[in-house]
Amino acid sequence: MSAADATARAWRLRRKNRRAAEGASAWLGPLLGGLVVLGLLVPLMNRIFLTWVHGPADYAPIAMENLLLRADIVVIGWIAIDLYSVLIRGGDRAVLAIWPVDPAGVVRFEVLRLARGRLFLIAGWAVLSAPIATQWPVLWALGVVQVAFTWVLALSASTLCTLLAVGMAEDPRAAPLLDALRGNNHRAQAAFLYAPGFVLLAVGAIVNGAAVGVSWLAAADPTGALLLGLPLVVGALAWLPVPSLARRSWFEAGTLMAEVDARYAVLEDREEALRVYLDWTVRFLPADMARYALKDLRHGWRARRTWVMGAWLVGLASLVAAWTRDPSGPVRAASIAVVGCWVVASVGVLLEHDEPEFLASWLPPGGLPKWVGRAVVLVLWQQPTVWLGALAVAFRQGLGPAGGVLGVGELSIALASIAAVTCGRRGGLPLYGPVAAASALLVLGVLV
Amino acid sequence: MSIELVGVRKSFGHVVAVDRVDLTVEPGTFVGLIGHNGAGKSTCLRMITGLLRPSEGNVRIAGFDVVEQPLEARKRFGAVPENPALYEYLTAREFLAFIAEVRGGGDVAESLELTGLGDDADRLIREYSQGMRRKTALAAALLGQPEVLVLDEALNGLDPPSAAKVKAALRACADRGQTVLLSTHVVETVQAVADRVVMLAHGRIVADERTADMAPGDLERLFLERLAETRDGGERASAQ
Repeated sequence: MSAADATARAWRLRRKNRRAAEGASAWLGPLLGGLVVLGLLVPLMNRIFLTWVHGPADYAPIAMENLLLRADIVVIGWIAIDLYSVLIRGGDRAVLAIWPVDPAGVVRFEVLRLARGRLFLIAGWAVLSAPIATQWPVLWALGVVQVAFTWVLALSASTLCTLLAVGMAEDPRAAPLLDALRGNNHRAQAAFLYAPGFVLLAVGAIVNGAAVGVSWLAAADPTGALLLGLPLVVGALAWLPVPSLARRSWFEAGTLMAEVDARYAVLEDREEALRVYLDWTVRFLPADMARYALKDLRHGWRARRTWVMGAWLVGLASLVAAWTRDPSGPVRAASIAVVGCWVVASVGVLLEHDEPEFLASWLPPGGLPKWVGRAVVLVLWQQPTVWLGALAVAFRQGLGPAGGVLGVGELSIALASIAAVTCGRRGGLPLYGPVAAASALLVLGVLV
Repeated sequence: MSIELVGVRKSFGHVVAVDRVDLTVEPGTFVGLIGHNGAGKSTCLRMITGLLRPSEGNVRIAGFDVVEQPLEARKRFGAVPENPALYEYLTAREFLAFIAEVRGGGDVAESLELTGLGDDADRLIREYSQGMRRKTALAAALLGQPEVLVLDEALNGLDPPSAAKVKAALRACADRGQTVLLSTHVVETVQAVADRVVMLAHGRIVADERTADMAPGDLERLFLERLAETRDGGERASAQ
């Protein structure tokens, strides 16, 4: 009986027990969340990326090629980051690290489980790109196939790179490079930080070729099939060294992470460990509000760092979309900012539900200062969603349109923050989701 | 040797948690590892179980280097870490069945009985108290009668009857030929069940004695004396 079989069986049992214990909320919440995100993305996608669908026939394959490359980048980036989380930082590692599990079996199980959990990337793409099918059904179908092949390649290439990163983290020959890249991080951590980017770099040319293959096939050129199938072939080849690498690296990764987590800096400078993103802002708040704001800044940063930093990713997307002299630039920037700020503000709802009880019991009952403090924190976290796009608009189109983007963005930030704090107190995500979707769609409707 | 630490040192930046520890434990020996808070007990045990890599030196379990041969070493020990991680949405019985499968065998019912988890074995682990979680981890460590048991504060949080039952079970393990390494703050526990006591202070072994040679109360006295000596020595070194 392999470790993969035993681990898989235990996982199925855990899933069954969880459903029995929590009822529909175990799966209904994520499903509703996914539908809300999809609902927000559909108009955004139509407005920004699918304007060519009703255009001239000779432009469609090229537009599809460009669009597929963007979708591929999302799929690869998403899976690469998830694979690091699952293989190196996953909850299973904490349980299994002291037992004699076969690492190759565990890695195979984890990757298959992640693959199952990320099937929605293919399904989501099929839905988001569905308007293409109304005019170009073959092109749409080929696009879905291409994204599916990229998904396979992303899984195996990310597994390979993550396991290779374990060896690289401790290789003395890589030390100078890692030291140059690591900033304040532990050297070993640097190898993992850059692994997703390396995956993108390594497979970028292959998926780009596959996207070209789609346009060739659409033009009835059969050689396009070779290019289209390339990610599948490379994905299969990339998997070959995974079992032996897993046996060499999986246990070792645990000790590496223990080193990273020990963070000697914490032992040397205890204040350093308490510093979090934007905590300097609390000095400008009244004392009775500042303590709650600091609590949220710290707890939010530690528990939901990815979401908080996601505001910068949204801002970056907004900047890229708005870097144009096209009159639609400001609308693009504002649209992305509006959707982004509602997504980022959801941290406020989660904060209320996932903060440890001891935090609540240590502080006196907060009342208004607590809720206003949280709203202020949410407003601060969301700022990058608006400012980067507005800056791009200011550079390319002048201060007037940029002011418009800022106005719409800040209004959305204020509304999203109030809604998140209110829904955090009553209703939670099931209430916040529809409110966010309706509000964002309303603003998008007005903008468009 | 069942457990062998040679020149083991562990540092985190400038902080030395374990300093040049040499320790060998023969099969069938019950060793109690005692020390003050921050003495380096958990760091030692984490290195012995392969969860942490020594900065210098080697750790071997039943002849297998825990860093170089992690799978072979793990086949030979069962462990209860300081904060045992368990699958929250399994019952204790299901979790133990899973571990037995991973280990390639083990009597789940016997382990549950030894740790006194029988009546609660079919409740989800997420509903357990800290003591029950520790019992579950202990039951998992006992499965399959591994050559070596490495237990970090394994009796913490256990009610007195359960603690007595577990101590008897561990003593029986040692009598059967299994090696037991138990870290604890409670010197009475060590004196009652262990064959040998190893005392750590500030990352170093400051005493290594047979408990059979000690009268009741000797161990506590020795512990306090050695701790004071180490502290005085450290203060003198700092002053110089």
